[in-house]
Amino acid sequence: MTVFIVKRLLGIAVTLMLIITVVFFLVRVAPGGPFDQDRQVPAEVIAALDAKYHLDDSLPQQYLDFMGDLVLRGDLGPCFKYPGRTVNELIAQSLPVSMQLGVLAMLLALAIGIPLGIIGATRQNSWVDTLAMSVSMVGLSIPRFVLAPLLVLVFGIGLYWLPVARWETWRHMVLPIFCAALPTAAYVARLTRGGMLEVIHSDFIRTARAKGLSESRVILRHALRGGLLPVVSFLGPGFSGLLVGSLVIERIFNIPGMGRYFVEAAQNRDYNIVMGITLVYGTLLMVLNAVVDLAYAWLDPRVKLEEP
Amino acid sequence: MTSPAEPTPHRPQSRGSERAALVDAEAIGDLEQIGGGHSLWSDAFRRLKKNRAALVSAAILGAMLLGCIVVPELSQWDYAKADLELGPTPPSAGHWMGTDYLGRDLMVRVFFGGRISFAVGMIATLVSFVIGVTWGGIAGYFGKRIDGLMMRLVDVMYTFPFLIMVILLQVFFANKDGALHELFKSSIRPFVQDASAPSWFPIFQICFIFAALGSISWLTMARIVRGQVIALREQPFVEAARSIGVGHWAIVFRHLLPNSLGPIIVYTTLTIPAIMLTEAFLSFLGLGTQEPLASWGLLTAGGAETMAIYPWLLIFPALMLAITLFCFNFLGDGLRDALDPRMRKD
Amino acid sequence: MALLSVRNLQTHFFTEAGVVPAVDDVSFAVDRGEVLSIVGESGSGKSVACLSILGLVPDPPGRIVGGEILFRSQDGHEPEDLLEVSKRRLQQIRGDRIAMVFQDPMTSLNPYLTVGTQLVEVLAVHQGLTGTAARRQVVEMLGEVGLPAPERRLRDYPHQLSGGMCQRVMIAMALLCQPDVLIADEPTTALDVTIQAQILALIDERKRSMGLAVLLITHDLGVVAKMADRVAVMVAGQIVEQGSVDAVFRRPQHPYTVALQRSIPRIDDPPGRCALAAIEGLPPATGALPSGCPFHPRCDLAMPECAERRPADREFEMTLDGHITQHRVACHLEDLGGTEKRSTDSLDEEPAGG
Repeated sequence: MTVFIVKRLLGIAVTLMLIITVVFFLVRVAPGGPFDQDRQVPAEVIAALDAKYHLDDSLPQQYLDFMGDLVLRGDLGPCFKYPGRTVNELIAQSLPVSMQLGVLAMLLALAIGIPLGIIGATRQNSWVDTLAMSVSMVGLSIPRFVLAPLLVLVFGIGLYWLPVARWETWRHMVLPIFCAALPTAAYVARLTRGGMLEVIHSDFIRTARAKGLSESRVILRHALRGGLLPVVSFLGPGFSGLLVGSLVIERIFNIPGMGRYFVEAAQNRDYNIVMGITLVYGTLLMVLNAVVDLAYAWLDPRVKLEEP
Repeated sequence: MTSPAEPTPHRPQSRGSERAALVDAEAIGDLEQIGGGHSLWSDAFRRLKKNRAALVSAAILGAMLLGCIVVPELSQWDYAKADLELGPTPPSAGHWMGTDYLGRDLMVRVFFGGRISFAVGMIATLVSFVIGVTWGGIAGYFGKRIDGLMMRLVDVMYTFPFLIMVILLQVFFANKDGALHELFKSSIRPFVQDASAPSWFPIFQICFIFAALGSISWLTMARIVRGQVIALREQPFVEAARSIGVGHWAIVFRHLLPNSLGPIIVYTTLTIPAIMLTEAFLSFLGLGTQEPLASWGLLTAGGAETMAIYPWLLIFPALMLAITLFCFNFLGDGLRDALDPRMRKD
Repeated sequence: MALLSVRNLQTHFFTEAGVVPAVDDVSFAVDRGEVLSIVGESGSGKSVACLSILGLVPDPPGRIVGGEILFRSQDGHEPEDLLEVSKRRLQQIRGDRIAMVFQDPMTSLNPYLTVGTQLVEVLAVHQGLTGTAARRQVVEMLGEVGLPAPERRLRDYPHQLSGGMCQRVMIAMALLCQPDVLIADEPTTALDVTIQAQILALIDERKRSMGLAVLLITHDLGVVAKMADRVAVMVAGQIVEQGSVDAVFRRPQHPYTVALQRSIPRIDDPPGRCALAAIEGLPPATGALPSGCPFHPRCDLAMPECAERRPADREFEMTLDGHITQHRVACHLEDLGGTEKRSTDSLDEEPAGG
C-alpha cells in the first residue's frame, strides 16, 4: 500500500505540473493583461506596471520565474488586482472558508442522501420510495441559483430565521450549506438506492436471511457494504461538483471563499490568482481521489490497488 | 454417475427468463397468449409503454419542443424588441407571462430561450456522444495498453473539475477580441452578408458552449461504452465476424456499438438535462448565453436577482427549466428500467 | 408425524405475463436421518418449494398463497405451521433448526466480509456465543467439513477460496447450530465432478452422525440414486410421483418418470444406438401451463381426459424385494405395466411409442 501512495503522489505532482503549465500559457496567450482592463489608465502606466511585475519578459522567462518561486519557496506571487496582497495570503484566508462549506455540505448530503436511498431500496415501490425518489428528482432539477434565492426568501426574509449573507456565526452557514448540499444529496440518494437494490437481490443476501438474521442486520451489516460502493466512487466527482457549485453559492451569499475570487480573477485577468486557485483545486481533488481509491479498496476486498 | 435428466431442447433455454418463456410459447404454438414479437427492443418498448410516468414525460417534452419552435413564430412580440417605457410588468392579457426590465415580452423570450436551451442540450450531448462512444469503443475493443492509456486519461479527467477549465476557456477565449472569434467570423463570412455584425457574437458564444460542454461530459459515456464493448467482444458472434475477415473498425461500429445501444441511450437521455443545467450555471456566472439572446439559464439567473420584486421573471423560466429537466430524468429512468430487466420494479 | 411436513403448498408468482403457479398443490414430508430428494427439470418449481419452507421466496413477485408447512422441532412440542408463525419465530428457526445450502457457493457468501465473520455471526445470533468460544467452535466445524487449515480460513475472503471450499464453508455455516433439517438446493451443480462426490459424501456423513433430515434438490438422477432414500418427481409445479428411490427407479408409475429414466444414456448401451431418447417438446412456459395434467402435451400415453382434468394423487403400497414402501402417483392411468423400466438384459426391446 505504501507503494501505491508514493506512486500516486508522484502522479499527482506530475499532473499538477502539467496543469499549471497549460494554464500558465493559456492565460498569457489570451488577449488582455491584468492592467489593460481599466480604460482610464494611460499606456505609460500600464507599461510601468507590466515591467514591475515582469509581465514584459519573454514567456519562457516568466514561466521559469514562476515555477522557481513556486517550487523553491511555495510562493504563488503577488495579486495584481489587490496591490500589497499575495496570492498565498488570499488563499490562506479563503481556502478554510471554502473547505468548511464544501466538507460540511458533503457530510450533510451524505447524511440526507444515504438514509433516503436505503429507505427507498428497502421499501421499493411503496409510497415512501416514490416520494423519496420524486423529491430527489426535484432536487436534481432545480439549479442552485434558483434554490438559493428561494430558500433565502422563505427562511431568511420571510421567516426571519436565518441571516442571509456573510459567514460569521454558525447561523450564517446553515442556508449556504443546505443549498450546496441538496442537489448532491439528491444524487447520493439515487445512487444509494440503485446500489442497494442491486445488492439486495443478490445470492448472499438470501443466504444471510436463511441464516436467520433480522432484516435490519441483513441490510446494515451485509447489504450496506456493497450497496454503498457507488457512493464511495462518487465522492471524488461529487466533491468536485460541490466545489464548482460553491462558485454560485459563494456569490449569492457573499461568502469570502475561494470560488468567489476565481471568476473575478479570471475576468480581471489576474493571472496569479487564477493559477493559485487552480492549483489548489487540482491538488485537493486529486488527493481526495487517491483517498477514495484507498477507501474503495478497503471496503471491497476483491479490488486490488492499482498503481497509477 | 452423472447424467443429464433434462431433455435435449430445440432451442437454448434460460432459467425462467421472460424471453425464454416467449420462445417456448412460440414453440408450443401459443402465440396469442403472450403476444407478438420477442426481441429485446419490442420487449423494452412494451415495458416502456406501461410506465406511465415515462410516457407522460415524453409527451410533455414533445409539447415543450413544439412550443419552443412554434410560439415565437406565432406571437406578435419579438424576443429582442425592447419597450423601455413599459418596463417590467406582471402577467396580463397582452403579455401572458409579463414583461422584463426592457419591456420585452417574457413569454416569447421564454419559448425562444427554450430553443437555445434545447439546442445547447442536444448538440452538446451529441458532441459528447460522438467523442465518448468513439473513445470508449476503441478503448474497449482494442484493450490492454490502448485501453489502459485511454481510460487512465479518463480517470484523471474525471475528478478534476473540468468546469473550471471551461470557465477559464470561456473567459479567455470566447470574447470579442479573441482569435477564436475572428476564426469564427471568417468561416461564416462566405455564408452571411455581414459577418462583423454584433449579433454574431452571441452565436459564436453559443457555439463555443456547445463544444466546451460537450467536451467535458463525454467521460462517463466513454466508460459506459467501454464496459459494454468489453462485455460483448468475447461473444461468439464477434469471433465469427472476425473469422470471416470483417475488419476491426467494422466490427466496432457495425456490430459492437449497435448492440450496446441500451445503456448508451439511457445515459444520453440523462446527459441532456445535466448539460442544460450546466449551461444555466454558466449563464448565471455571465459566461453562458449572452444578451440579447435568451436561454432558460440566462432568464432564470436574471430573474433570481429580483425575485422578491418581480417574481414572475423567475417563476416562468425556472418552471420551464425544472419541468423539462424533470421529464428528461423520468424518461431516462423509464428507459433504463425498460431496457434492463433486472432493474425492473415489478 | 414426520419432522417436516409440507401439505398442499401453493406458491404463486404474480408477473406481468400473468399469475404463475410455480408450486401448485405440493405435499411431501421428511423425517430424521432420511434423505428426500426432489427432482425435476429447470423451472419445475423444486427450488421455489424449498424456498417457501423458509419463507425466502422473493416477494414481489412471489407469494405463498396456500397450504401448511408443519415443523415439529425436536422437543416433541406441538408442530408449528411455518406459514403462520411470526417473523421473529421464523428468523429463530432459520439457520438454527432448519438450515439451507444453495447452489452457487461463490455468490452465496458475502464477498465483503471474511469467512470467519460470517460463520461466527450464526453462533452469535442463535446461541449468543461470541469471541474465542465462538471461533473455536467455528474452527472445529470447518475441520469437520474437511476444510484444510481451518484457523487460517477465518481471515480469508470468499473470493480467495475455491468453489469446493466455499461450499464446505456454506455447509459448515448450515450445520453450526446442529439443525434438525438441512435443505440443499442443487449443492453440487456448480462444482466439478470430483468435488461433487466429496461434497455429497460430506452431506451423507453428517446426516448419519447428526441424524439430520435432508431435503436434497437436484436434476441429476445419479445423485438421487447415490444419496436419497425417497424421491419426489416434479413437473411444472406439481409432484407427479413420490416414493422410495428403489421403487421409483425400478417400478416407475408415471410416464414422465419412465421417460426420464429412458432418456439417460447408459454406459452399456450398444454402440449402434446413438440417438438420445429425449422427452419430446419443452417444459411448459411460465404463464402458458397446459390444462389438466402438466405433462400431457409431451406424454406418449396421453388420453383425452389428461387434457381436461388434473389427475388426483393416488396413494398405495409398493412391495419390492420384500420391502413395503408408500408410493404416490398423479396420473389417470391405473397401471403402467408394459412400460416398466427395462432391466439391463433386455436392451433390444423397442419401447412402445418411442
